[in-house]
Amino acid sequence: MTSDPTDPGSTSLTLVAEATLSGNRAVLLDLRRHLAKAGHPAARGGAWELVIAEALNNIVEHAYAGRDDGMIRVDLRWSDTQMQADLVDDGTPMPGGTPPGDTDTLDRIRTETLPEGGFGWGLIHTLVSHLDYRREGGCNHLSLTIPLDPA
Amino acid sequence: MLTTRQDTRAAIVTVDVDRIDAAVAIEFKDQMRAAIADSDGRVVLDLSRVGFVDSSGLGAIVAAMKLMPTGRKLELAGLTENVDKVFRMTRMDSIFTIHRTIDTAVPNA
Repeated sequence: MTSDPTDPGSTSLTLVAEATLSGNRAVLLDLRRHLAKAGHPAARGGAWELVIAEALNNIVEHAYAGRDDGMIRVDLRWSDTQMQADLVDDGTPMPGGTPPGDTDTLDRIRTETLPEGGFGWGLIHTLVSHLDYRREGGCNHLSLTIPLDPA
Repeated sequence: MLTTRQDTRAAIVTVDVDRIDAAVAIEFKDQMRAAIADSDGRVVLDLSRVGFVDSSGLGAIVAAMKLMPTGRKLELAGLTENVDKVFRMTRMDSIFTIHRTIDTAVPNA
């Protein structure tokens, strides 16, 4: 993983990360460090961390399924109230051209079946205020706007 | 990533890592399988050191519950704020007995 040189007060971060599950974790820890350095209350985690984790893991497990040379470009911008994450990968497109699930996905979980998966997109849809997906230039572009918890 | 302590009332399994995420979900499930096999009675999973659980980590905790033999129960204790939110949003809080702290679950263990 490489990161752009950034000053401590920066409110943006661009990373190009290896598309692996441990690479994804490194991205989140890097972002936490930047937020902490800037004294941002979101450094303690919350909705943004979960949404970005789920989106990155989906890229590794689906878009780059069967590939080990994938890279993910991660552009992050944040303010006091929201986090904007733009993720780009050149893996396979989303089936049907749209991200799975919707804002009601979590409400349809049948707890009595003890599901071990299928939470990821439900959590994303529930926690974002805006989501945009497009396929462009052979790449997936996923853009997520996540409201930050009040300090 | 897990430490097990057998009490007469329960086995207390402490998660020693601060994240249960997709990178460690399989290892977590494997270690839970061993912890369950090597213990008796109810199992209380101490999550007080865990600050982050993603959907894969959540799935691994549900999977661990399904590994419990008939008559034994997996309970959770010490959920931190972010972890508690994940359980509530997915309604998985309704399928576990959740204790505020390990001491509430097994007093003076």
